Amino acid sequence: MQLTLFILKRIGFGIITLFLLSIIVFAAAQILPGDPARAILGPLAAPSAVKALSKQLGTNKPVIDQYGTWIGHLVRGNFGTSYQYQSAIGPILGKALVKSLELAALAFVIVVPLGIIGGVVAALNYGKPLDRIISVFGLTATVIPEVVSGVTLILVFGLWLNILPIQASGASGFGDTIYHLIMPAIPLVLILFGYIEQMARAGTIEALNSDYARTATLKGLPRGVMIRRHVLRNSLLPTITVIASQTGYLIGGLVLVETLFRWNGIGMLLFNAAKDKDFPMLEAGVLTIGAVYVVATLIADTSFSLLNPRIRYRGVE
Amino acid sequence: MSVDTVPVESAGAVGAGQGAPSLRREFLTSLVRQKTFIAGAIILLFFIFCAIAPHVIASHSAYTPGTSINQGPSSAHWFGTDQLGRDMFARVIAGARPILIISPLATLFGTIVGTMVGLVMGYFRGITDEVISRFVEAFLALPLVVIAILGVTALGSSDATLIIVIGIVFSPLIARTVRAAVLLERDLDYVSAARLRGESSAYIMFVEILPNVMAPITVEFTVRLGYAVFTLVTLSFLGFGLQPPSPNWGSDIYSNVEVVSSGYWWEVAFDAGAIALLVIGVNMLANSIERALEDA
Repeated sequence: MQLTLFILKRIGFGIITLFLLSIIVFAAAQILPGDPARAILGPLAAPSAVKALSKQLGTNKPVIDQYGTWIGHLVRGNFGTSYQYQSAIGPILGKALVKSLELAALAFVIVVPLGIIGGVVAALNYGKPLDRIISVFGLTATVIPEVVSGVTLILVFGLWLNILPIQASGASGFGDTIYHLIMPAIPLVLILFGYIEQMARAGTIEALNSDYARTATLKGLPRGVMIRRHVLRNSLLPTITVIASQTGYLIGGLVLVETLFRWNGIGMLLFNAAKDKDFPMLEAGVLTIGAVYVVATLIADTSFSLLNPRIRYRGVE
Repeated sequence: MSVDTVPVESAGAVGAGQGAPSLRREFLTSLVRQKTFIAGAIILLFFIFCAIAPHVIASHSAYTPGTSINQGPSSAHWFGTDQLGRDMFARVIAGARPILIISPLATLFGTIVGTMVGLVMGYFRGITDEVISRFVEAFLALPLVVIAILGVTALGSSDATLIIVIGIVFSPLIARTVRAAVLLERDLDYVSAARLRGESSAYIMFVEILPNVMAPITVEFTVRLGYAVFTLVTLSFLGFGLQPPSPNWGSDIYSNVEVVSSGYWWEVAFDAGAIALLVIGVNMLANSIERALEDA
């Protein structure tokens, strides 16, 4: 009962977040100087044509009405028409989202086990050189911009060793796609590694110092069994939340990585939309990213509370 | 404004706020004893010098095109030349300037806005806090880079826009930290005493509480400074920063990365190295300041 309430409350907050987000995005579009109809038709168009298009686009109506129409269409799955492609945004966005998911999935498949193993190994060697090496590497990797790691990878693996393709586009088939996506995935992996590793490390250290771990050791359980049964089970819970909460960052990283490696995902779509001032596309893309983040956080919170009874009744904070 | 003195000075206010000058001295001693702080400071000072007097270090011009294009590193051109024959060494050195002007100002702007919002949220709590919190959450649902792109596209790209956009993007994060710190302070005796004296809310927030939450704000400022460099580099790579021909690490990488497959690695490698060095330096400073504040 409590749990259902918790989840419902979470969903409610998620909807509010998306609603506010839509206002922020819509407001940003309103700041854009000039008349959208004029922007589409160009400076030489007749005033009557501009007026007609304004009426057709609805940009001559009050701002509140425009927001209402826009959000009404969005809710029904109508994302509008892209200025740049002159076609419906929905399918373009959908295709790009799938492309980005492929890249993100590969990055996660690499980084999650790596981060968890790194964190646990660091914790088991707490205070020793290995712990310091892993932690310093994680911290450093997290703060280096993807531009730097991406360029370094291109130079080392693309140019000097010449074993990986510099551009990700043009991949076909499952194996080939993975081969093309390894290099774009690594900058994302490097940034995420630090977060996941630190979380897994902190969780493991806490669990190792807990009463139940001490009891398990004192009752003569072999260290390996103790770690597997008592420590890991508790230490990996918070890590799940961190992984899901990094979805937001991940999409931000995608903008850069996809542009650098020419991969037609949602990041590159946003980049091109911003370059060409394709506002309908930009608005739809940004809102989609927000929605993906809200859903990911919701799943993380829910699964976390399902797995951890202590959190279940604490409510939302 | 010189970048390196800001955190130290505001951190000094921590000691002053608690009326104990020894705390301030302890903080500074603990700071200079750390190797990370010294290393970070040297890196940052080097880049500040590059930003102020690039011509002292690089004899070539960062703007003048030359006839020797795409030349590898040599004794004449230490970092080689780019597609227009410009000296890469001069461009890398001069590229420190826009970053070192925009990132601290953006961080400062974000810290000021975020601190004010956080003080209001933490002090008033209740409905004010609820409403602002929801907005903050909505903002945080978007990656920094995405909000920044939205902002720069809407406002047009200029140095001022970048400062405002990055500052505004950072402010919710800073507000969240300040709010948490204020919540711990607001029920302490000195706040109740001020309230009983009949001081205004603004006075209590800014004169009584603010000096006591300077420590987390200082840490947040230095950490954000690293992210500001990160965000700025990313935005300028994407073409939302300074426009060519101005030397700029991010946009230089963007325009030169396509010729890397021809083997001209030096046209991106040194820019990338400079970014990495600066980001690591700033983060070293941030870490050592955080540790010194914990010790003090």
